[in-house]
Order: sequence, then C-alpha cells, then structure tokens
Amino acid sequence: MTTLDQIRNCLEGVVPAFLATADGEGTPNVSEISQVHYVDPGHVALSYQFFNKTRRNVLATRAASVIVIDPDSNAQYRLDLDYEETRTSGPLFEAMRAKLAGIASHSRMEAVFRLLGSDIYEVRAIEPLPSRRLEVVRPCNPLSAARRAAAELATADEAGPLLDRFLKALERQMGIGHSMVLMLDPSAGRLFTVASHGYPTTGIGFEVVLGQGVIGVAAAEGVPIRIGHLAAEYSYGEAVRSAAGLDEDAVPLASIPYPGLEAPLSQIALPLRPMGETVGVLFAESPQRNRFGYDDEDALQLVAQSLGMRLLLERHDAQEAAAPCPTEITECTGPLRLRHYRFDDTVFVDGAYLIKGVAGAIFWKLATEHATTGRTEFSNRELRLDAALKLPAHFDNLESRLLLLQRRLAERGGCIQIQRSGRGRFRFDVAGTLALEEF
Amino acid sequence: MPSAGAPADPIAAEPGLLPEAQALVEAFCQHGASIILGVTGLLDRPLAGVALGCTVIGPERVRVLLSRPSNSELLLGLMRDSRIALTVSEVPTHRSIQIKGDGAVLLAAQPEDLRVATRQLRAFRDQLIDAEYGEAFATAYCSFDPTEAVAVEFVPCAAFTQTPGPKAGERLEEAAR
Repeated sequence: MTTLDQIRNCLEGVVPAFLATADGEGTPNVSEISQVHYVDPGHVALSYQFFNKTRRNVLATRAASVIVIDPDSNAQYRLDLDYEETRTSGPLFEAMRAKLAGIASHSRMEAVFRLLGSDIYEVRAIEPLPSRRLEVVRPCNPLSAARRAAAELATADEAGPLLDRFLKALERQMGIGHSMVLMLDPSAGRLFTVASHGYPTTGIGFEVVLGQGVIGVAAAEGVPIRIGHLAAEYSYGEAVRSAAGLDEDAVPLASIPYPGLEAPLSQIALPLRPMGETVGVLFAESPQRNRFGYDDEDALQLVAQSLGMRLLLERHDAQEAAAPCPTEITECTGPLRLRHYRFDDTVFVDGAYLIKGVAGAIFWKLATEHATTGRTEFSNRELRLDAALKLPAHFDNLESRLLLLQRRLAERGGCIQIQRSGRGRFRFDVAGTLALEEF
Repeated sequence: MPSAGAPADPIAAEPGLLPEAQALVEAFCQHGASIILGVTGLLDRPLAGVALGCTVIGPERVRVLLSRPSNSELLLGLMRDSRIALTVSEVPTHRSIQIKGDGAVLLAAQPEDLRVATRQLRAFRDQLIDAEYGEAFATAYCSFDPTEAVAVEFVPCAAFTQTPGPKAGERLEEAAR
C-alpha cells in the first residue's frame, strides 16, 4: 500500500496538482492547485487562496480528489481526501505561506497568489496511477549525512570553533555550501549571526528581526521554513535596501550587512529548540532552485536539534572549559578611541562600527572597568548580576551575546580580544590604552 | 448518456459553448495546454483525471482523449453520472477556462484522436520545457500509449474563467448573453 511518506516529493509544489470537487448536487468542478503540503503521515494541507467554487464545494461536501505528480520521476498518484479544518495562522500556515511565495515567484504570480488559509484534509486513500517513470538517483542519503554532520558536535571545542567546524561539516557531508547560525535575543526580538560558512564576508553580527524572512519566521513560529524559489518578500537583500530607503547596495552605518548570497533561489531555516524553547536558527541557502526537500528538512532539523542541545550545554557551563585557543592580539600604536551611544548601546572603535544592543552594553562595561582599574578577568556570573546590562531574568542568552562579541572582536583582529579563561570566566585583553567617549 | 438520477442543473439550461469560449479552448489546446477533468465516481465522491487531448467539435460537442488505465475509476463513474468538468490551462500565462458539461459518452479512440493528442502533447511538452520543468520530465509526462487511449464526448453547458485571480469562476456566458 502506498503511503503519504513515500510520495512526499510529489508535494513540493513544483508541478501543480489537480483538484476535483463536487457541489451538493454532484456537479463536478476541477482546477489546478498550487500547493498540496505534507502535514503528517495521514494528512495533507491544500492552499486556500480564493473563495471560489472549489472552496464552496469543499465546505459543502468535505470531499476532494487530487492528483499529485513527482517532478523528478513523473510518478503520479490520486489522493482521496476528506476536509477537516482550515488554519489561518500558526506554524503550518507560515510554512505553507513561505512555500507558496516561492511557487508564486517561480510562476510569476506574486501579485495573485496569497495564502488565505491552510485547508487540512485526512488522506483516505492513495491510488498510484500508471505513468512513464524516470529513474531518480539521489546524490546522497540525507539521514546518513546528517548523522555524520551531527557527530562534529561531539567535540569539546569552544562554541566559536565548534560552530565553524559544524558548518564546514554541513558542506562536506550534506553538500550545503552556504550556511549560518543565528542566536535569538528575545528581549530585542532579533536574531544575530554568530557563525557563517561559504560567504565572502562572515556577517557575524548581522541581525534579522523576528518574523522577517525565512529565518525570522522559523524563529517566531518554531518550525522549519523553506522556500524553493526565493520571493522578494522573503529576501534579506531586498529587506535591507527597503529598510534603508536605498536602491543601491549601501547599508546603514551601524549594522552588519547581510553576508548571504545575492541571488539565492532556495533557502531553509531550522529553529534551534532545545527543551522546546527557540534559542536560534540554523540557516542554509543555495543558488539552485528547489534545493531543499522534505527529506533534507527532516535531516537538517535533526542536526539542528543536536546543535541546539550542544549550545544549551554551553549556556549552562555544563562542561569544563576547553583549552583556550589563544587569539592573536595586535599591539596598538596609540590610544584606542571607543565611542558608546547610550540610547542603543552602539559601540564604535576608532570610528568603525563594532556592535550594539546588549552585547554593546557588555563590551562597554568591560572596557570601562578595564580603563578604570586595569582589570582583565571577568566572570559570566557578575555580568548576569549587573542590573545595568538589563539581561532578562529568564533565558538571558548571555553566552550567545559573549560569543557574538568575541567573534566580532576576533574578526576585526584589533587590539581588544575576549578569550575564555575557565569555566564561566573569560579574559578581556587590551594591547594598548583606551580612550572612552560616551554620548 | 443522461445523468442518472441527477437533479436538473441550472447551468444545463442553455447548452452550447459561446464562440469566445470555443475559440479560447481551441487556441489553448493548439498551443499546448494542461487538460484536466473532474467527475463524480461510483462512490459519489469526486475524482480528478488528466486528459491527453481535447477537440471542440462544435458549440454543442467537446471530445477529449484519455488514457484508460489512469482513468478507469473515472470512466466507470461517467457511466453512471455523465456530468463532467474540464479545465484547460495555458502554461506560460496560467490562463484557464473550465467547461461544465453533461451527457458524456465513452467512445473508441479514432486515428484522428491520436493525431490530435500527439500534436497537442508535443506542443504541451515544449511549453513545459520552456517553463523549466526539464526535458526528461516533460517528455515522460507528455507520453502516452495509443493502444490505451479512449475518447469521451460530452455536451458543454457552460464555460467559466478559471485563471487565478479576482475573475476566477466568472461565467463567460454571463458577460455575453
């Protein structure tokens, strides 16, 4: 017996599906439908986009028949469906909305295709239809590749090097050449990049607003979001230009530009949810259309789950400090001019933007202490207890903010570096003198 | 073949296709189009099907060619309830038109049917390739076995715009009559 799990490739929206319904008098109706989405082994969801005859028929009779086609093998199936309910918000709706945006972009129907609801159907039967089948050779087994990639997380590296190794492993094992890890700052409603792979610039510190693009939606809804043909409304390049009111590639001064591909076609974002709480997002993209399918999504979500747990361990300082990897520190020729803007804790070093937000406040506290007392050793605990930093009482994400700060400083290769010095402790190294200005 | 036990359908009151609808369907099919159909099956549930080709014989007769193995349940359903829905869609523009009909009868495929289907599927294959579906997929999707083909003829009762958008579902007759 054919199962829904066996035919998920038919449900990618690459080839339109054909939907037949009938009204209360039995008059049939047939139309193409953009999206038949896999929900679970017994259910699919169809995109509800217009209140039309199909919609009226479904509400009246609750019965539907849909033909779905595998875009690779040309396998064809007829599904006998019973309508159950419509969802107009939430994880399933958002996953379908992103996918539909991709389908609309590919078919040049952006102005027409808008998801009004996800109609959930029980699958009563699946009938394989005769068709000329093509042989399909899969480049790799995603599950096996995911297992090997996740094994990289078993090392005792510090978070920074660990993430770098992990993202490299995604390329080696799963062929994913462009990826990032972003951590969530729940109080600011933003995610910030702490590691990336495969881009000309690292983009460490690049921020995404919760709910923006596939990354922001994955974090907000706690579900994987993927798109097979990138639509303008999900593009970070577009969003940055639009927010800045620019039509060129310029970006605002006090922010890190999007490091990702200029013209990606496929994107996928997997929420990191250790213990059921979103702490960040694993993101990957590709210039190839429909690069990520259901199997890739499942495999990557398993990897993301392991990554989330590993970062949670880091957060709780549950392991002894690894041997510190000393970072090269450059001796300054003159005093370092640090400028701090109190209203958003933005920090500039010698006129160049460094960081902002809570990580900016942390940096400013460390720099002020160092300039006043010459102190270099600090603990995570004292930062947690410092009310001036305004860390949330629950889930302060301090380790992620320190990681971001450490990586930004390392990336600049300047005269200030942060290095882990023991369990829950770190060193603030300054090779020179600091001149502090506050605004 | 009349509908068995089906109540009178208001759309069947004025059978026949307007010249506008006829011209659109003919043009779509000639240039290569997706042709799909819907019927009510023996279990009183809807069934979707795919057609190989379509000819508008005249304002009161539409003929479609189907693969019997793919549509066996659907053909059985038509034996009991001869109402049928047929939607023809142009790939590059998504322009679609749906014909609702009645009195569907099952007929043996004729050599001319096979010539029409071959021509229309070749054009459809080219449209799919242009739409980046890939040559291998497009060729496989548009292939058929002539020995398995069967024809269905029905009387069109109404035509509707089916192009996605605000006018979807608008009855063509309403604008003209």
